[in-house]
Amino acid sequence: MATLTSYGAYVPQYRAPLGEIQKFYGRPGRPRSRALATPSIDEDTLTMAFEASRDALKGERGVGAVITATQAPPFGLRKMSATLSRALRLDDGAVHIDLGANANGLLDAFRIAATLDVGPTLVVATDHLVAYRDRVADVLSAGAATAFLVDPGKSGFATLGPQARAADEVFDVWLLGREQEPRFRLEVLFDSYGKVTARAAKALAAITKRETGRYTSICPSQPHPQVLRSLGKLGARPEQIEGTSFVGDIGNVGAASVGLALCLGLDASRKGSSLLALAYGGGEAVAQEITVTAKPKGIGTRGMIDGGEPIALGTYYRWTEGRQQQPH
Amino acid sequence: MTVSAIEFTRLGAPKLHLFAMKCDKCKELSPWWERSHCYKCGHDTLTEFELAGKGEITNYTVVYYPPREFLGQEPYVVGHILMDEGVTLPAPVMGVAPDAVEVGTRVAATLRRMKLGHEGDIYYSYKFVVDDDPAPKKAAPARRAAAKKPAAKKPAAKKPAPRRPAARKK
Ligand SMILES: [Zn+2]
Repeated sequence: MATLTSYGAYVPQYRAPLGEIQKFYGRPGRPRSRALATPSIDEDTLTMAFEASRDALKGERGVGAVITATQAPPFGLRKMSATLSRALRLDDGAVHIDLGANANGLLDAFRIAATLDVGPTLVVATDHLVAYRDRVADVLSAGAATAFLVDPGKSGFATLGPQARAADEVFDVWLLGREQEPRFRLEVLFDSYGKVTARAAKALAAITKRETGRYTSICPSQPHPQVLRSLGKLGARPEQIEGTSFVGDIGNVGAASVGLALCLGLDASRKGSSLLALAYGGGEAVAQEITVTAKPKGIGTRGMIDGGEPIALGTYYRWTEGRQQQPH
Repeated sequence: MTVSAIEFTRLGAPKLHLFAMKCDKCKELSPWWERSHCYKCGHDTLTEFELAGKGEITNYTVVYYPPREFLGQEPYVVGHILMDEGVTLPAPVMGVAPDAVEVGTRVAATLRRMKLGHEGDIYYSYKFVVDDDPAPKKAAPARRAAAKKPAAKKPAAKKPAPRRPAARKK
């Protein structure tokens, strides 16, 4: 059974004002987050992944595989996993797997890591959605990265338990031909958030014989109101999610979301704690049980979320919208 | 040291690593760009030597009017970083305001986008941030103490500069 032997997280230093951003982009509604954790102009998903991985590895280089999950890789051809591996001076001969992922990517990667026979696997989820296509999907998009060292043999501080999945057919964000503007139908996505997540959680309970309300913490990729409602019906209690919620503070960090929730859950855990990781994306939900077998040395994830320096709307715009056009 | 995503494989040599060049003869470390001439003895064979990534600022300047590839990052600090291994490298220091940077501040290397090329190609390289864990190595090389002397005229740093953003609020 695969175990977690180490973990790390990186939340960028700067905080952009979501209320002003929504006004600027003509998005109605009350901001669902106090601010957006925003990578600096010289940061991206690769550099954030590097920071989180270096913290997780703590000098360890005997890694047999690197799996990265992101929706915003800096390159089209070059693998994020291989580039990251090179920057971290890991073995060129390691297995490098890129997952073009939604918020489920990290749990997919856990599943893959548990089946690889190459020794420890570095699993990294990193995201910052700023492209025109992404902005339609979620104006809450912020940046962060999380990294986990998964070892199929060694006994780490937590066991990666069984997974359960559920899926719905949903519309999404898409492009027709060479259109520059994406089309989207997101209300269908939001509808299925709750339904599918609850079905995955229920399916997991059937495997593990542990009811949703009996986990120490629930670590959801995004505590969307519809998800909370359906989890409530399964017996989930607010205190299971209180410690692992962050979207209201720094925004939605895409593929890194469930990782950041897990880091919060692990930081607060002790021997015997049980975590329910719940990721939702693109119509599919994944639920996984993680059992803590020894109190992990925390990494201060809450401090990374609560810290940060505010930046102005103009700086945010310059760093995100205009960043690729800077030299001209 | 810097390399674009496009040039990445064409150039071959490892560019995402922080390294110095070590003289095969006298073992002196030279900066990464010095590939065929030892600074100390003039020997012509040097080998890449991995650096641990920690050092301190011995001198710095603040760039307000950057070359076009660096536009958008200004104002930013470029420091002379005396690495714990004894070699001095010039590199940007991030996350510290131009008026808060101090000589003597302990810094740690991290991977960042260095600049965008003329076609918007991304160049990654090592930059430095103020070290969260600023305890210097116990056994500093003798060279380090010697190399510190030229900086003695600068006002002595009492404590590491606070981690303040270089972000402008306009
Ligand atoms: Zn020499």
